[in-house]
Amino acid sequence: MTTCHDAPAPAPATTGGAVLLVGNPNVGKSTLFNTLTGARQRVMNAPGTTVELQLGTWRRAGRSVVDLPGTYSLVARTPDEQAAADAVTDADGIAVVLLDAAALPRSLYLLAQVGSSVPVVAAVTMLDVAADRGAAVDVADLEAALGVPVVALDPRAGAGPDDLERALPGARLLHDVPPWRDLEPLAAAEALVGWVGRVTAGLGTPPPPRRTRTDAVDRVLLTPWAGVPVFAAVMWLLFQLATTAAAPLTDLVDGWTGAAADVVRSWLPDGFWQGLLVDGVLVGVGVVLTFLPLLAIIYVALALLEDSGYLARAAFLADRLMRTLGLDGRAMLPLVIGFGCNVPAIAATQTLPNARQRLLTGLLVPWTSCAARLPVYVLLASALFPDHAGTAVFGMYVLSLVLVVGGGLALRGTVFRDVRREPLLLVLPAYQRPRLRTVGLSVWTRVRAFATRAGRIIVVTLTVMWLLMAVPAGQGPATEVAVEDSLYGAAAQAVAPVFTPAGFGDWHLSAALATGFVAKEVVVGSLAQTYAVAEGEDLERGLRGTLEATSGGHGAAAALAFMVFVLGYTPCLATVAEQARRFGARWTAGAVVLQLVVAWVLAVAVFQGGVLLGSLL
Amino acid sequence: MDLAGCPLHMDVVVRSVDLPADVRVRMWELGLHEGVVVRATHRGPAGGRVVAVGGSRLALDGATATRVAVAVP
Repeated sequence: MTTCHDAPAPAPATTGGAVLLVGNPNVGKSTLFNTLTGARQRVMNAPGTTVELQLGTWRRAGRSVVDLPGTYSLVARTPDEQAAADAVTDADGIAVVLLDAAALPRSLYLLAQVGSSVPVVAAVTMLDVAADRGAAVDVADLEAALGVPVVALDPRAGAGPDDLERALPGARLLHDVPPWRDLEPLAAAEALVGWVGRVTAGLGTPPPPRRTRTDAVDRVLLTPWAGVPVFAAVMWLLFQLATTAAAPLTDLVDGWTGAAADVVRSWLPDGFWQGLLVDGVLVGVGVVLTFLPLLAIIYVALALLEDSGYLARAAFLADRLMRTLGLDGRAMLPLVIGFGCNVPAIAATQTLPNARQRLLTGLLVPWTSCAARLPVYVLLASALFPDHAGTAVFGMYVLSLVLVVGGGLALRGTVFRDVRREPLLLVLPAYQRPRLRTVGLSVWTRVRAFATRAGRIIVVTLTVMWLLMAVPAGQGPATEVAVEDSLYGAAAQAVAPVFTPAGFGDWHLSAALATGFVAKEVVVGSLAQTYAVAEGEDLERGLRGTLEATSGGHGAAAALAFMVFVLGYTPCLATVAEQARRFGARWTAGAVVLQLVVAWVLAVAVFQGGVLLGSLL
Repeated sequence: MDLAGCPLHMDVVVRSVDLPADVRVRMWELGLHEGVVVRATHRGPAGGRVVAVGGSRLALDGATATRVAVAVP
């Protein structure tokens, strides 16, 4: 019988083709990718999926590199694992398989699968962690046992890429792996574990598990009495970052774009072209730029949580809570961030390891009531039921939670039937100190991707909106167009009757909702503009008059219905753009329609229910 | 005895796993399978357990931990 200790087979030619980086999650794969490619990298979706792959150029080796999603096996259980498995199946180059020295059998299992069909080089990471656990790995012994090149790597310290580069020409297939692809999955798993056992048997007897520093920290962070408060504090911190921490930077960027607009305005004569460039294109660019500091801060926070190893603990602690929705405990992060701002919340779905769960969470995030909706609630509540404004606003947050949970259950019962309540089997990585360079590169790549891909959608849409406001309906071009006389105003008037069953069929309000599609921050300003009053008591009076008139004397019910609609429909254009970037146009369009339908149905139900209740009392 | 009920820091051997086949495959892939010696290291919320499997740590929810039968070797 052939064993893994027999002489290795001759090496096949391995020139050309991309280098695939394959490995378990948290093995240091992305850190190695950043070290090899520097800033020469981009993000793309795996064909036909929403799974992101990182592509880059390893200039020193003259090779392109693909960082595949972390996986434990090529027998895929998630879309992310399927993307990794497909990439290995279709590979025409070589694979660098990263082995976690602290969990060698698990890594060797994946190596066996990859190395049975693709020439491989093995790169061992976490050697320090393994040594700390009394299970030091001898790289030379491992190379002799496997018969493929094996190099020691410390991606976090940037050590080992030169050795890896030198080892690439020696990449070869593993020669004695059982034919696992021909077996039933369970039989294949047993056969592969048998192969792993034969490899590790030659490396000496593994020591019994012993308590580590990570175990000591987990003794505190995983217990309900301390772990849950710490987890709550981390969530609170993320919420603060999404609401207040970025505000000074956002204001600064806002000031710069305002100054840039003034400069352009001074260069160009008043008129259409100045308006198009300044109030259309530049405003769009400004919106994109103002999101960048917030996104960068959230990305840094997420990278720190992930790189340190805490994110896996958060998933364990929140597992029971999120399991109701069929989601991983990590889904708690984007949903909490969503109450601050929906845009970074959509971005935070990246922390989930399963593409379907990312999509489901990304569809629920818009129903988390972001901070920008609050001024709208406050205005309406103060205007129509000043004595109970606080209760009304609180009720909106309760409704937001109901929408997230109810929406999640409804989606799981329909288009997300495949998102099941899976048993939790979660590998907890050792705690590590995050590396600044890794975090910085990761944040830069992702912020750049938002600016270029989501940014384009935002700028084009805002420019089109400006055009609609600048062009008078049914007349030739004019320099000054009142909102109600513009194409935008005409569209708002045409749409207004749709909201009659909800008690607010008036063009002032439908125009404000249309503006709110761009950003909820401008809804109050838009209302003030259409009423031609300053924000404050005059605006409240105007709103009161309109709602009392459109609702047949049930202004409070109509106000509540309007607030519910504001909660339920599309949060803002930037959220839509980020959804489109991550989940594709089809899912995003479906989400926008679903939100509009849900918002309308709820608003009508609230108004009609309010009217009925009023008649009974 | 199952993983949810076994004392912490005691070596136990996995006797059987009463879970669907696809989940058992994933357990094999993660090193948690019949015949392997493991040690529960932490208790988590709602009956969850962290188990030392070789050098790595694996977190299981309470319901899953009850489906893994173990015995003192």
